[in-house]
Amino acid sequence: MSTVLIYTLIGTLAGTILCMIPSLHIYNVMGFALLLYFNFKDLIPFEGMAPLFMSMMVAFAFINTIPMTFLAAADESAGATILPTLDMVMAGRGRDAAILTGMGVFFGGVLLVILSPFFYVVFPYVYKIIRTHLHWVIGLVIVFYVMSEWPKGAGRGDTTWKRFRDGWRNLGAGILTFTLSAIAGIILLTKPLAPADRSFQNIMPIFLGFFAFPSIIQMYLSEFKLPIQHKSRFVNAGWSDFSASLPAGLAGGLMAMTVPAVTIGIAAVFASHFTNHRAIQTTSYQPPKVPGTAVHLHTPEIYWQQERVFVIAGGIMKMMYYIGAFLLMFVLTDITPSGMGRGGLNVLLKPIFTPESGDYAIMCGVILFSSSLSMLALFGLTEVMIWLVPKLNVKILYAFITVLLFGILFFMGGGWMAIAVSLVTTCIGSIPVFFTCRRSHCMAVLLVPIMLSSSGNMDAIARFLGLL
Amino acid sequence: MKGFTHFMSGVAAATCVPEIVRMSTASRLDTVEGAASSLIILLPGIFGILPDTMDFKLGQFFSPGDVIVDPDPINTDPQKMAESFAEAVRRTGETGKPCKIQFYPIQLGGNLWRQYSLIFDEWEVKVQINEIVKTSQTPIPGTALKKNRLGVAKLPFPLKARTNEIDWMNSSIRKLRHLLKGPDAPPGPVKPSTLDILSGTQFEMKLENDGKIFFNWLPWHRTWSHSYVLGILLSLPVFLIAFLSGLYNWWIYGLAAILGFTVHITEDMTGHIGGSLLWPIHKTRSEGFEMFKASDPRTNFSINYTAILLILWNVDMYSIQIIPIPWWQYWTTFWLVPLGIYFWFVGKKKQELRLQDKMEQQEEPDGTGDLVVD
Repeated sequence: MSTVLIYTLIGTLAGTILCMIPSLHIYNVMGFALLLYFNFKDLIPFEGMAPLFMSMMVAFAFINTIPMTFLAAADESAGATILPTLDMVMAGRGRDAAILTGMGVFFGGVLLVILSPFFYVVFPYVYKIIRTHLHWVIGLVIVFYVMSEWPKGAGRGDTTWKRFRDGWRNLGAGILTFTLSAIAGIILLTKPLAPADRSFQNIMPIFLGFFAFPSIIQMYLSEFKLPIQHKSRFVNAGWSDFSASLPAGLAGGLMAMTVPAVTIGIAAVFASHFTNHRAIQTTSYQPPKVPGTAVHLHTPEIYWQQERVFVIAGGIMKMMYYIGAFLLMFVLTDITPSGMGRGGLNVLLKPIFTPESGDYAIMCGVILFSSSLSMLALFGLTEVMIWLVPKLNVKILYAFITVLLFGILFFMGGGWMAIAVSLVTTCIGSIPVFFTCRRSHCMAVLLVPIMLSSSGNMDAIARFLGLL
Repeated sequence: MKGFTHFMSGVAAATCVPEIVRMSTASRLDTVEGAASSLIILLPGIFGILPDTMDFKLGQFFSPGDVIVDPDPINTDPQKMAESFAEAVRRTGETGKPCKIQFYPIQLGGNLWRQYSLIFDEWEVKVQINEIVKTSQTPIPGTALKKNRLGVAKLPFPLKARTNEIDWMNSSIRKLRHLLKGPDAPPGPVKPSTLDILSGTQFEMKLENDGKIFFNWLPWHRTWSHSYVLGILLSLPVFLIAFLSGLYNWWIYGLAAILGFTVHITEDMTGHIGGSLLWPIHKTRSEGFEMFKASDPRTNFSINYTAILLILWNVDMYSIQIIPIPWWQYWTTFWLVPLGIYFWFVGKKKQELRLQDKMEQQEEPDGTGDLVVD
């Protein structure tokens, strides 16, 4: 038991430090986690391995909120939370944004434990049914994700072509990002940079390029300055906001836990389409209240609640995706004797770690313990950040981070080749930043190759592209 | 219905065809035939969302406005905007030819928009400039203009929101609707229209026999794209490609596509606007059965939830068969009971919101109320 506690503490601490680096993607954190393991595997006892990785992920789910909120360092999961949090920060409510996200993550952790009977009784059947059909499930995710992005331009212009071009600015950029990412994914799957046992090295440059470096470029180009943040003993939310966040958090979380390569940014789009209930109370036209007006347009409270619901649900999804997907590895039932885990960490850990019955309860304990520690760390670090950021030259900070990330890439990610790959993916990842389409289009790097491989079409496509 | 609902319903309908599920099962992926057919279920998904995709990503750009209202974000002039509307009415009334008026949104920043409302009367139109809103459509308190918020223009011809000139299709649909729902409610005042984020809106004015101008909202929506005939035409290439590729069961590919398209158009008939069901044979856009609002979250959620359960049930039944309970137990446990609880809860919540709304009308909410989590 003491080993579990010690490695939970170490994992939480390591995760907390690591996640303060802005713009890191979860897959980069996994890469670091495995690097840590490969370098210290003789020192880490077998029973400490799972708590170490689990608590690192828990810390990531909580602490990456801080750079994302206060340094505008968006990773892919930003799609689930960043819009309202950025708004809240600019309105001086950054503390609310960070703590509310953290509370959502904590709520997600508790939810995972509460859902244990569901994971053991119902979920194995869902898992089994979907497993033989994953290729088209991922295909459907791709289809809806691409087709559901709506034009952001209003379609101005005196000719059809001009109107079309104006309306399609973001759609064209989205489709281009998706296609290029998919091709990059197919190339890197057929011609990997590193051997399979070090496959995280393939992932690291790709994801740093797709998410971290474009955010850094965006930060350099923007004039982001943290406004003065209000101090308050309270968080501006009601308990009903948590119940309203539950359907979206649960739907998005379960989806991201179940379907490979579906990250929170993507799951959040589906969850909001599936569960959004704002239209249950629409705006209404009332007699005018102000002289010189004809009507009073009344916007009900549920509209404002959406901001809080969005942030909390995003937190729940983070926990279910990062942690839940790993936790399922420990759900050993008659029809899932090897567990149901998914996600990069699960794939990478499977060869070196085998869960045993009874581990699930320990993992639930690790989640709750590490969540409590991380929540406390989040409170403290939020205050530190609010105090520190106005004093920092954010551009110098980012210059330091850029050098650090390039160093990591060079020494741990595969040398010059990794840097070259990251530069290519940076170009692709910058398209959404500048054309305001969805950043998760970059996830085509995993979605498309996985769909093609699992549907038996990968070889045909690779041959078509001249890769085989 | 919303796009996601059409998408899910199309896929769910396709899984009711056992052969589609069998063709897409992973156990067949080791054969070329299996790999080729493995993604067949994407077709009803794509075709299920296609009608709205064609409208919003294509059709709207082919419908230029004859009168354009693109307000200046700095010096927004509501009077000029109202007069533009009156001009469109005048042109229609005097020439007898339809006239389209296009209103564009007022964007003030990446996430900031100036909202405005169009308020219609039989002989008058008002344009009111409201607060600045975020992309989430929540207004920012205190951002309303201090002066020049309202423009009023008299109309040279009277307006009406419902057409009297109905053809055989619309009269049949009206009869069927009256049978289903009883007679239509007497026409009340026309609801104002509010514009804020992303895209604008368009109205088409048409002079009718009674000398009134019928103004049709989004004249490019649910017309040619929402036609059963077009669904069949668009699936022809799918039939053809599958046939020419020599695929086994080639006709099922086209059938899957038609299913998705058909489900979309049929679902849309439950709303207020129907579709041009037989375009290009018969081009009129029909009315709908007015059973639900397209945006009603209760309908959309319950259909989506049902679709997920149906997909799981069908996929299991036609492939691995591991669900250990009989159908009635499955549907009672996972459909009847949860949806019963859902409708009870949502009904209660709606009542609460109505009450809250009444109180808020006395004191406008601003998102910074006294909700606190200690």
